[in-house]
Amino acid sequence: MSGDVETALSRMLREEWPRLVAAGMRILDDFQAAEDAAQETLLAALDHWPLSGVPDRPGGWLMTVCRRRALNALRDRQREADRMRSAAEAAAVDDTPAETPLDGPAIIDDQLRLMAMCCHPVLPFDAQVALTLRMVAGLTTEEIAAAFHQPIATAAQRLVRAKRTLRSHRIGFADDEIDLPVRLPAVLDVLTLVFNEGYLTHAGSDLTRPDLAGESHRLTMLLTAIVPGEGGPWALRALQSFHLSRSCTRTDDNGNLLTLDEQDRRQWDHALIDDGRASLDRARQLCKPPTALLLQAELAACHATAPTFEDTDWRAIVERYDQLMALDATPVVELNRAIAIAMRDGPAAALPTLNRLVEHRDLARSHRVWAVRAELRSRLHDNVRADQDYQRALELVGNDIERAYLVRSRQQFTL
Amino acid sequence: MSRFVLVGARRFPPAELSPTHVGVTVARSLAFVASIRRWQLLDSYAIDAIGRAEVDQPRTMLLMWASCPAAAANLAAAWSRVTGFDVSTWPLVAGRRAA
Repeated sequence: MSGDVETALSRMLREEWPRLVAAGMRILDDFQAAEDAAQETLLAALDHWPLSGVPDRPGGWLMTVCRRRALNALRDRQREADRMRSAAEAAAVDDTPAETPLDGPAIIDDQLRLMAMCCHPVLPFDAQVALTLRMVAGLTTEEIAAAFHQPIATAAQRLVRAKRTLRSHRIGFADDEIDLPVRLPAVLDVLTLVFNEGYLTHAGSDLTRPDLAGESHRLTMLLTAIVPGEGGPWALRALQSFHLSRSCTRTDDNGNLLTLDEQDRRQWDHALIDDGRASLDRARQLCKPPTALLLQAELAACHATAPTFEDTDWRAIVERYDQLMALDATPVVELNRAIAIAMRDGPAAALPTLNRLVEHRDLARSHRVWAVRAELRSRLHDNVRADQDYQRALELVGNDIERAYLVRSRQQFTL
Repeated sequence: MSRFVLVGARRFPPAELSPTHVGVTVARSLAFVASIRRWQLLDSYAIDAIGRAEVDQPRTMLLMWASCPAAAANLAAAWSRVTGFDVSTWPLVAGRRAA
Protein backbone atom coordinates (compact mmCIF):
# COMPACT_ATOMS: atom_id res chain seq x y z
CA MET A 1 0.00 0.00 0.00
CA SER A 2 1.54 3.26 -0.99
CA GLY A 3 2.12 6.26 1.20
CA ASP A 4 -0.49 8.05 -0.91
CA VAL A 5 -3.21 5.85 0.56
CA GLU A 6 -1.96 6.55 4.08
CA THR A 7 -1.98 10.26 3.35
CA ALA A 8 -5.42 10.20 1.75
CA LEU A 9 -6.96 8.18 4.57
CA SER A 10 -5.32 10.33 7.24
CA ARG A 11 -6.55 13.49 5.58
CA MET A 12 -10.05 12.12 5.18
CA LEU A 13 -10.21 11.08 8.83
CA ARG A 14 -8.87 14.45 9.99
CA GLU A 15 -11.56 16.16 7.96
CA GLU A 16 -14.26 13.89 9.39
CA TRP A 17 -13.09 14.27 12.99
CA PRO A 18 -14.71 17.65 13.79
CA ARG A 19 -17.95 16.48 12.18
CA LEU A 20 -17.96 13.44 14.46
CA VAL A 21 -17.24 15.47 17.58
CA ALA A 22 -19.93 17.95 16.56
CA ALA A 23 -22.44 15.14 15.96
CA GLY A 24 -21.58 13.72 19.38
CA MET A 25 -22.00 17.17 20.93
CA ARG A 26 -25.41 17.61 19.37
CA ILE A 27 -26.60 14.38 21.00
CA LEU A 28 -24.66 14.36 24.26
CA ASP A 29 -23.94 18.06 24.83
CA ASP A 30 -20.75 17.17 26.67
CA PHE A 31 -17.27 17.55 25.25
CA GLN A 32 -15.78 14.53 27.02
CA ALA A 33 -18.63 12.22 26.06
CA ALA A 34 -18.63 13.51 22.47
CA GLU A 35 -14.90 12.97 22.22
CA ASP A 36 -15.32 9.43 23.58
CA ALA A 37 -17.97 8.69 20.94
CA ALA A 38 -15.69 10.01 18.19
CA GLN A 39 -12.77 7.97 19.56
CA GLU A 40 -14.86 4.80 19.61
CA THR A 41 -15.88 5.51 16.03
CA LEU A 42 -12.26 5.67 14.97
CA LEU A 43 -11.69 2.42 16.80
CA ALA A 44 -14.59 0.81 14.91
CA ALA A 45 -13.09 1.99 11.61
CA LEU A 46 -9.75 0.60 12.69
CA ASP A 47 -11.36 -2.81 13.27
CA HIS A 48 -13.69 -2.95 10.27
CA TRP A 49 -12.15 -1.19 7.33
CA PRO A 50 -9.02 -3.33 6.92
CA LEU A 51 -11.13 -6.46 6.47
CA SER A 52 -14.41 -5.26 5.04
CA GLY A 53 -12.82 -2.49 2.97
CA VAL A 54 -13.15 1.27 3.18
CA PRO A 55 -16.82 2.12 2.51
CA ASP A 56 -17.74 4.04 -0.63
CA ARG A 57 -18.86 6.91 1.56
CA PRO A 58 -16.61 6.62 4.58
CA GLY A 59 -17.86 9.88 6.05
CA GLY A 60 -21.42 8.56 6.15
CA TRP A 61 -20.27 5.31 7.72
CA LEU A 62 -18.36 7.15 10.43
CA MET A 63 -21.22 9.53 11.10
CA THR A 64 -23.73 6.72 11.53
CA VAL A 65 -21.46 4.79 13.89
CA CYS A 66 -20.68 7.92 15.87
CA ARG A 67 -24.33 8.85 16.26
CA ARG A 68 -25.10 5.30 17.38
CA ARG A 69 -22.29 5.40 19.93
CA ALA A 70 -23.53 8.72 21.20
CA LEU A 71 -27.08 7.43 21.47
CA ASN A 72 -25.84 4.36 23.33
CA ALA A 73 -23.99 6.60 25.73
CA LEU A 74 -27.11 8.65 26.20
CA ARG A 75 -29.14 5.53 26.90
CA ASP A 76 -26.50 4.32 29.35
CA ARG A 77 -26.79 7.52 31.26
CA GLN A 78 -30.57 7.05 31.31
CA ARG A 79 -31.30 10.70 31.39
CA GLU A 80 -32.35 13.47 29.13
CA ALA A 81 -35.06 11.24 27.74
CA ASP A 82 -36.59 13.93 25.59
CA ARG A 83 -33.31 14.82 23.97
CA MET A 84 -32.66 11.17 23.13
CA ARG A 85 -36.04 10.74 21.49
CA SER A 86 -35.59 13.69 19.20
CA ALA A 87 -32.02 12.72 18.36
CA ALA A 88 -33.02 9.14 17.66
CA GLU A 89 -35.55 10.30 15.14
CA ALA A 90 -32.88 12.21 13.33
CA ALA A 91 -30.31 9.43 13.24
CA ALA A 92 -30.48 6.22 11.25
CA VAL A 93 -30.09 3.32 13.68
CA ASP A 94 -30.20 0.18 11.52
CA ASP A 95 -27.48 -2.43 11.97
CA THR A 96 -25.45 -1.51 8.91
CA PRO A 97 -23.95 1.93 8.92
CA ALA A 98 -25.75 3.94 6.28
CA GLU A 99 -23.65 6.03 3.98
CA THR A 100 -25.58 9.19 4.47
CA PRO A 101 -24.81 12.43 2.72
CA LEU A 102 -22.89 14.79 4.91
CA ASP A 103 -23.04 18.22 3.47
CA GLY A 104 -26.31 19.37 4.96
CA PRO A 105 -26.53 22.81 6.51
CA ALA A 106 -26.90 21.28 9.99
CA ILE A 107 -23.52 19.56 9.72
CA ILE A 108 -21.81 22.72 8.55
CA ASP A 109 -23.55 24.65 11.30
CA ASP A 110 -22.36 22.06 13.83
CA GLN A 111 -18.74 22.49 12.80
CA LEU A 112 -19.02 26.22 13.28
CA ARG A 113 -20.65 25.64 16.65
CA LEU A 114 -17.79 23.35 17.57
CA MET A 115 -15.18 25.96 16.69
CA ALA A 116 -17.14 28.67 18.46
CA MET A 117 -17.48 26.54 21.61
CA CYS A 118 -13.76 25.76 21.66
CA CYS A 119 -13.12 29.51 21.48
CA HIS A 120 -15.76 30.43 24.04
CA PRO A 121 -14.85 33.65 25.88
CA VAL A 122 -15.26 31.92 29.23
CA LEU A 123 -12.05 29.98 28.47
CA PRO A 124 -8.56 31.46 28.72
CA PHE A 125 -6.81 31.87 25.39
CA ASP A 126 -4.38 28.96 25.86
CA ALA A 127 -7.31 26.68 26.69
CA GLN A 128 -9.13 27.86 23.55
CA VAL A 129 -6.08 26.92 21.50
CA ALA A 130 -5.68 23.50 23.13
CA LEU A 131 -9.38 22.66 22.85
CA THR A 132 -9.52 23.73 19.19
CA LEU A 133 -6.52 21.57 18.35
CA ARG A 134 -8.05 18.58 20.13
CA MET A 135 -11.70 18.88 19.15
CA VAL A 136 -11.50 20.47 15.71
CA ALA A 137 -8.09 19.40 14.41
CA GLY A 138 -8.05 15.98 16.12
CA LEU A 139 -4.54 16.32 17.55
CA THR A 140 -3.92 14.09 20.56
CA THR A 141 -2.92 15.54 23.91
CA GLU A 142 0.61 14.31 23.29
CA GLU A 143 0.75 16.07 19.90
CA ILE A 144 -0.57 19.31 21.40
CA ALA A 145 2.02 19.14 24.18
CA ALA A 146 4.78 18.57 21.62
CA ALA A 147 3.54 21.41 19.44
CA PHE A 148 3.87 23.93 22.24
CA HIS A 149 6.84 22.34 24.00
CA GLN A 150 4.83 21.61 27.11
CA PRO A 151 4.76 18.56 29.38
CA ILE A 152 1.96 16.18 28.40
CA ALA A 153 0.45 16.53 31.89
CA THR A 154 0.16 20.30 31.41
CA ALA A 155 -1.63 19.96 28.09
CA ALA A 156 -3.90 17.24 29.52
CA GLN A 157 -4.78 19.37 32.55
CA ARG A 158 -5.54 22.33 30.34
CA LEU A 159 -7.94 20.24 28.24
CA VAL A 160 -9.65 18.69 31.25
CA ARG A 161 -10.02 22.09 32.90
CA ALA A 162 -11.43 23.61 29.72
CA LYS A 163 -14.05 20.88 29.35
CA ARG A 164 -14.94 21.20 33.03
CA THR A 165 -15.26 24.98 32.73
CA LEU A 166 -17.67 24.68 29.81
CA ARG A 167 -19.71 22.09 31.68
CA SER A 168 -19.79 24.08 34.92
CA HIS A 169 -20.96 27.17 33.04
CA ARG A 170 -23.68 25.06 31.43
CA ILE A 171 -22.63 26.20 27.99
CA GLY A 172 -24.80 24.17 25.67
CA PHE A 173 -23.93 23.09 22.17
CA ALA A 174 -27.21 23.28 20.34
CA ASP A 175 -29.36 25.43 22.58
CA ASP A 176 -28.05 28.90 21.98
CA GLU A 177 -27.64 30.76 18.74
CA ILE A 178 -24.00 31.42 18.02
CA ASP A 179 -23.28 35.11 18.09
CA LEU A 180 -20.97 34.88 15.11
CA PRO A 181 -19.65 38.43 14.97
CA VAL A 182 -18.67 38.11 18.65
CA ARG A 183 -17.09 34.66 18.38
CA LEU A 184 -15.39 34.84 14.99
CA PRO A 185 -12.49 37.06 16.10
CA ALA A 186 -11.59 34.57 18.83
CA VAL A 187 -11.69 31.70 16.31
CA LEU A 188 -9.47 33.68 13.94
CA ASP A 189 -7.09 34.56 16.79
CA VAL A 190 -6.70 30.90 17.68
CA LEU A 191 -6.13 29.87 14.07
CA THR A 192 -3.60 32.70 13.65
CA LEU A 193 -1.65 31.69 16.73
CA VAL A 194 -1.56 28.05 15.67
CA PHE A 195 -0.41 29.08 12.20
CA ASN A 196 2.27 31.43 13.50
CA GLU A 197 3.68 28.77 15.78
CA GLY A 198 3.68 26.34 12.86
CA TYR A 199 5.19 28.81 10.39
CA LEU A 200 8.02 29.98 12.62
CA THR A 201 8.48 27.77 15.65
CA HIS A 202 9.54 29.83 18.65
CA ALA A 203 11.87 27.18 20.06
CA GLY A 204 13.50 23.94 19.08
CA SER A 205 15.52 22.61 16.20
CA ASP A 206 12.95 22.99 13.41
CA LEU A 207 12.21 26.27 11.66
CA THR A 208 8.62 25.26 11.01
CA ARG A 209 6.05 22.78 12.22
CA PRO A 210 4.29 22.00 8.93
CA ASP A 211 1.68 19.94 10.76
CA LEU A 212 0.54 22.93 12.82
CA ALA A 213 0.68 25.42 9.96
CA GLY A 214 -1.10 22.94 7.69
CA GLU A 215 -3.81 22.22 10.26
CA SER A 216 -4.44 25.90 10.79
CA HIS A 217 -4.62 26.47 7.02
CA ARG A 218 -7.01 23.54 6.63
CA LEU A 219 -9.26 24.80 9.42
CA THR A 220 -9.20 28.30 7.97
CA MET A 221 -10.26 26.89 4.59
CA LEU A 222 -13.01 25.00 6.40
CA LEU A 223 -14.08 28.25 8.01
CA THR A 224 -14.31 30.00 4.63
CA ALA A 225 -16.57 27.16 3.49
CA ILE A 226 -18.72 27.39 6.61
CA VAL A 227 -19.10 31.18 6.67
CA PRO A 228 -18.34 32.32 3.11
CA GLY A 229 -19.98 35.69 3.71
CA GLU A 230 -17.48 36.75 6.39
CA GLY A 231 -14.35 38.58 5.29
CA GLY A 232 -12.05 37.65 8.20
CA PRO A 233 -11.63 33.97 7.30
CA TRP A 234 -10.94 34.86 3.64
CA ALA A 235 -8.28 37.37 4.70
CA LEU A 236 -6.64 34.83 7.00
CA ARG A 237 -6.78 32.19 4.27
CA ALA A 238 -5.08 34.59 1.84
CA LEU A 239 -2.41 35.46 4.40
CA GLN A 240 -1.70 31.80 5.18
CA SER A 241 -1.70 30.72 1.52
CA PHE A 242 0.81 33.42 0.59
CA HIS A 243 3.07 32.47 3.50
CA LEU A 244 2.81 28.73 2.90
CA SER A 245 3.62 29.18 -0.79
CA ARG A 246 7.22 29.90 0.26
CA SER A 247 7.54 26.98 2.69
CA CYS A 248 9.83 24.80 0.65
CA THR A 249 12.32 27.60 -0.07
CA ARG A 250 12.77 29.00 3.42
CA THR A 251 15.78 26.80 4.14
CA ASP A 252 18.55 25.44 1.91
CA ASP A 253 19.56 21.79 1.59
CA ASN A 254 21.62 22.07 4.77
CA GLY A 255 18.73 23.51 6.76
CA ASN A 256 20.08 27.07 6.77
CA LEU A 257 17.53 29.88 6.83
CA LEU A 258 17.13 31.69 3.50
CA THR A 259 15.86 35.26 3.50
CA LEU A 260 13.39 36.51 0.88
CA ASP A 261 16.14 37.82 -1.39
CA GLU A 262 17.93 34.45 -1.28
CA GLN A 263 14.90 32.27 -2.08
CA ASP A 264 14.34 30.69 -5.49
CA ARG A 265 10.95 32.10 -6.44
CA ARG A 266 10.48 29.54 -9.21
CA GLN A 267 10.03 26.96 -6.47
CA TRP A 268 7.26 28.84 -4.70
CA ASP A 269 3.93 27.01 -4.73
CA HIS A 270 1.97 28.90 -7.37
CA ALA A 271 -1.26 27.03 -6.66
CA LEU A 272 -1.15 28.44 -3.14
CA ILE A 273 -0.31 31.91 -4.48
CA ASP A 274 -3.35 31.66 -6.77
CA ASP A 275 -5.46 30.59 -3.79
CA GLY A 276 -4.07 33.56 -1.87
CA ARG A 277 -4.99 35.96 -4.70
CA ALA A 278 -8.53 34.57 -5.02
CA SER A 279 -9.05 34.62 -1.26
CA LEU A 280 -7.71 38.17 -1.06
CA ASP A 281 -10.16 39.27 -3.76
CA ARG A 282 -13.04 37.84 -1.71
CA ALA A 283 -11.70 39.44 1.46
CA ARG A 284 -11.41 42.86 -0.24
CA GLN A 285 -15.07 42.65 -1.25
CA LEU A 286 -16.19 41.69 2.25
CA CYS A 287 -13.87 43.65 4.56
CA LYS A 288 -15.17 47.19 4.28
CA PRO A 289 -13.56 49.20 5.71
CA PRO A 290 -10.28 47.23 5.53
CA THR A 291 -9.42 45.25 8.65
CA ALA A 292 -6.00 44.61 10.14
CA LEU A 293 -6.14 41.03 8.89
CA LEU A 294 -6.93 42.18 5.35
CA LEU A 295 -3.97 44.59 5.41
CA GLN A 296 -1.68 41.81 6.62
CA ALA A 297 -2.87 39.67 3.72
CA GLU A 298 -2.24 42.60 1.33
CA LEU A 299 1.30 42.85 2.70
CA ALA A 300 1.88 39.13 2.22
CA ALA A 301 0.56 39.50 -1.35
CA CYS A 302 3.09 42.26 -2.08
CA HIS A 303 5.91 39.83 -1.28
CA ALA A 304 4.39 36.67 -2.78
CA THR A 305 3.44 38.23 -6.12
CA ALA A 306 6.64 40.20 -6.78
CA PRO A 307 8.45 38.46 -9.68
CA THR A 308 11.87 39.16 -8.11
CA PHE A 309 13.07 40.55 -4.80
CA GLU A 310 14.20 43.70 -6.62
CA ASP A 311 10.67 44.15 -7.97
CA THR A 312 9.18 44.29 -4.47
CA ASP A 313 7.06 47.41 -4.18
CA TRP A 314 8.40 48.78 -0.87
CA ARG A 315 6.49 52.03 -1.36
CA ALA A 316 3.17 50.12 -1.39
CA ILE A 317 4.33 48.02 1.56
CA VAL A 318 5.09 51.11 3.67
CA GLU A 319 1.67 52.52 2.74
CA ARG A 320 -0.01 49.32 3.90
CA TYR A 321 1.94 49.44 7.15
CA ASP A 322 0.83 53.04 7.65
CA GLN A 323 -2.79 51.91 7.25
CA LEU A 324 -2.15 48.99 9.58
CA MET A 325 -0.58 51.27 12.20
CA ALA A 326 -3.73 53.39 12.13
CA LEU A 327 -5.78 50.29 12.99
CA ASP A 328 -3.45 48.21 15.09
CA ALA A 329 -0.42 50.12 16.34
CA THR A 330 1.47 47.26 17.95
CA PRO A 331 5.25 47.35 18.38
CA VAL A 332 5.55 44.33 16.05
CA VAL A 333 3.76 46.21 13.27
CA GLU A 334 5.99 49.21 13.91
CA LEU A 335 9.08 47.00 13.68
CA ASN A 336 7.95 45.55 10.35
CA ARG A 337 7.16 49.04 9.07
CA ALA A 338 10.66 50.14 10.04
CA ILE A 339 12.13 47.27 8.01
CA ALA A 340 10.06 48.34 5.01
CA ILE A 341 11.22 51.94 5.43
CA ALA A 342 14.82 50.73 5.57
CA MET A 343 14.26 48.91 2.29
CA ARG A 344 12.63 51.94 0.68
CA ASP A 345 14.76 54.79 2.04
CA GLY A 346 17.90 53.10 3.40
CA PRO A 347 18.90 51.88 6.88
CA ALA A 348 19.51 55.33 8.39
CA ALA A 349 15.85 56.25 7.91
CA ALA A 350 14.70 53.33 10.05
CA LEU A 351 17.28 53.51 12.79
CA PRO A 352 15.51 56.07 15.04
CA THR A 353 12.45 53.81 15.18
CA LEU A 354 14.61 50.81 16.04
CA ASN A 355 16.38 52.78 18.78
CA ARG A 356 12.99 53.43 20.33
CA LEU A 357 11.67 49.87 19.86
CA VAL A 358 14.61 48.18 21.61
CA GLU A 359 13.53 50.10 24.71
CA HIS A 360 9.98 48.75 24.45
CA ARG A 361 9.06 46.62 27.46
CA ASP A 362 7.76 43.63 25.44
CA LEU A 363 9.79 43.88 22.29
CA ALA A 364 13.12 44.17 24.12
CA ARG A 365 12.77 40.50 25.09
CA SER A 366 12.42 39.45 21.46
CA HIS A 367 15.58 38.59 19.52
CA ARG A 368 14.02 40.01 16.38
CA VAL A 369 14.26 43.69 17.22
CA TRP A 370 17.95 43.29 18.12
CA ALA A 371 18.64 41.29 14.99
CA VAL A 372 17.00 43.94 12.80
CA ARG A 373 18.96 46.78 14.42
CA ALA A 374 22.16 44.74 14.10
CA GLU A 375 21.49 44.33 10.38
CA LEU A 376 20.79 48.05 9.92
CA ARG A 377 23.89 49.04 11.87
CA SER A 378 26.06 46.62 9.91
CA ARG A 379 24.73 48.12 6.65
CA LEU A 380 25.75 51.53 8.05
CA HIS A 381 29.22 50.11 8.92
CA ASP A 382 28.62 50.76 12.62
CA ASN A 383 30.32 47.44 13.30
CA VAL A 384 31.00 47.64 17.02
CA ARG A 385 27.40 48.43 17.93
CA ALA A 386 26.07 45.99 15.32
CA ASP A 387 28.11 43.26 16.98
CA GLN A 388 26.64 44.15 20.37
CA ASP A 389 23.13 43.88 18.92
CA TYR A 390 23.89 40.51 17.33
CA GLN A 391 25.17 39.34 20.70
CA ARG A 392 21.93 40.38 22.40
CA ALA A 393 19.83 38.73 19.64
CA LEU A 394 21.77 35.51 20.06
CA GLU A 395 21.12 35.53 23.79
CA LEU A 396 17.39 35.78 23.21
CA VAL A 397 16.73 33.59 20.15
CA GLY A 398 15.03 30.25 20.87
CA ASN A 399 14.98 28.61 17.46
CA ASP A 400 18.14 26.77 16.44
CA ILE A 401 17.87 27.58 12.72
CA GLU A 402 17.36 31.27 13.39
CA ARG A 403 20.32 31.15 15.78
CA ALA A 404 22.50 29.64 13.05
CA TYR A 405 21.35 32.39 10.67
CA LEU A 406 22.30 35.09 13.20
CA VAL A 407 25.70 33.51 13.77
CA ARG A 408 26.26 33.42 10.01
CA SER A 409 25.18 37.05 9.56
CA ARG A 410 27.41 38.18 12.40
CA GLN A 411 30.40 36.35 10.91
CA GLN A 412 29.76 37.78 7.45
CA PHE A 413 29.82 41.42 8.49
CA THR A 414 32.86 41.04 10.74
CA LEU A 415 34.89 39.39 7.96
CA MET B 1 -1.67 -26.68 4.78
CA SER B 2 -3.60 -26.39 8.01
CA ARG B 3 -6.06 -23.88 9.26
CA PHE B 4 -5.43 -21.63 12.21
CA VAL B 5 -7.63 -19.16 14.02
CA LEU B 6 -5.99 -15.86 14.82
CA VAL B 7 -7.83 -13.88 17.50
CA GLY B 8 -7.02 -10.19 17.75
CA ALA B 9 -7.85 -8.21 20.88
CA ARG B 10 -6.94 -4.86 22.33
CA ARG B 11 -6.06 -5.89 25.83
CA PHE B 12 -6.04 -2.34 27.08
CA PRO B 13 -8.06 0.64 25.96
CA PRO B 14 -5.85 2.46 23.48
CA ALA B 15 -4.57 5.86 24.44
CA GLU B 16 -6.12 8.75 22.53
CA LEU B 17 -6.37 7.94 18.86
CA SER B 18 -5.34 10.59 16.43
CA PRO B 19 -7.17 10.57 13.08
CA THR B 20 -3.79 10.68 11.36
CA HIS B 21 -2.58 7.61 13.20
CA VAL B 22 -5.80 5.74 12.45
CA GLY B 23 -5.48 6.59 8.75
CA VAL B 24 -1.95 5.24 8.62
CA THR B 25 -2.87 2.08 10.55
CA VAL B 26 -5.92 1.37 8.38
CA ALA B 27 -3.84 1.79 5.22
CA ARG B 28 -1.15 -0.58 6.47
CA SER B 29 -3.72 -3.10 7.68
CA LEU B 30 -5.46 -2.94 4.29
CA ALA B 31 -2.12 -3.73 2.65
CA PHE B 32 -1.58 -6.68 4.99
CA VAL B 33 -5.04 -8.10 4.34
CA ALA B 34 -4.62 -7.61 0.58
CA SER B 35 -1.37 -9.59 0.76
CA ILE B 36 -2.80 -12.55 2.63
CA ARG B 37 -5.77 -12.56 0.25
CA ARG B 38 -3.44 -12.51 -2.74
CA TRP B 39 -1.48 -15.43 -1.31
CA GLN B 40 -4.81 -17.24 -0.67
CA LEU B 41 -4.03 -17.62 3.00
CA LEU B 42 -7.22 -15.99 4.28
CA ASP B 43 -10.10 -18.42 4.57
CA SER B 44 -12.60 -16.15 6.30
CA TYR B 45 -12.88 -13.55 9.02
CA ALA B 46 -15.23 -12.24 11.68
CA ILE B 47 -15.38 -8.74 13.10
CA ASP B 48 -16.80 -7.66 16.41
CA ALA B 49 -20.24 -6.05 16.19
CA ILE B 50 -20.08 -2.33 15.56
CA GLY B 51 -22.45 -1.56 18.39
CA ARG B 52 -20.06 -2.74 21.08
CA ALA B 53 -17.73 -0.30 22.69
CA GLU B 54 -15.70 -2.63 24.91
CA VAL B 55 -12.05 -2.60 24.02
CA ASP B 56 -10.80 -5.42 26.22
CA GLN B 57 -12.60 -8.15 24.28
CA PRO B 58 -11.61 -9.99 21.10
CA ARG B 59 -12.28 -7.66 18.18
CA THR B 60 -11.45 -9.67 15.10
CA MET B 61 -10.82 -13.28 14.13
CA LEU B 62 -9.04 -14.50 11.03
CA LEU B 63 -9.31 -18.07 9.75
CA MET B 64 -5.98 -18.58 8.02
CA TRP B 65 -4.16 -21.24 6.06
CA ALA B 66 -0.57 -21.88 7.11
CA SER B 67 1.94 -24.64 6.51
CA CYS B 68 2.84 -25.09 10.18
CA PRO B 69 2.37 -23.45 13.61
CA ALA B 70 5.56 -21.43 13.12
CA ALA B 71 4.22 -20.00 9.85
CA ALA B 72 0.93 -19.18 11.57
CA ALA B 73 2.86 -17.49 14.37
CA ASN B 74 4.71 -15.38 11.79
CA LEU B 75 1.42 -14.29 10.25
CA ALA B 76 0.07 -13.51 13.71
CA ALA B 77 3.13 -11.40 14.50
CA ALA B 78 2.76 -9.45 11.25
CA TRP B 79 -0.93 -8.87 11.87
CA SER B 80 -0.16 -7.71 15.40
CA ARG B 81 2.46 -5.28 14.10
CA VAL B 82 0.14 -3.54 11.67
CA THR B 83 -3.00 -3.47 13.82
CA GLY B 84 -1.63 -3.18 17.33
CA PHE B 85 -3.73 -6.18 18.34
CA ASP B 86 -2.64 -8.68 20.92
CA VAL B 87 -2.96 -11.81 18.77
CA SER B 88 -3.57 -15.38 19.93
CA THR B 89 -3.14 -18.29 17.49
CA TRP B 90 -5.13 -21.53 17.66
CA PRO B 91 -4.69 -24.56 15.36
CA LEU B 92 -7.82 -26.12 13.89
CA VAL B 93 -7.90 -29.86 13.28
CA ALA B 94 -9.25 -31.57 10.15
CA GLY B 95 -9.24 -28.40 8.13
CA ARG B 96 -9.34 -28.67 4.34
CA ARG B 97 -8.89 -25.96 1.77
CA ALA B 98 -12.06 -25.31 -0.19
CA ALA B 99 -11.88 -26.09 -3.90
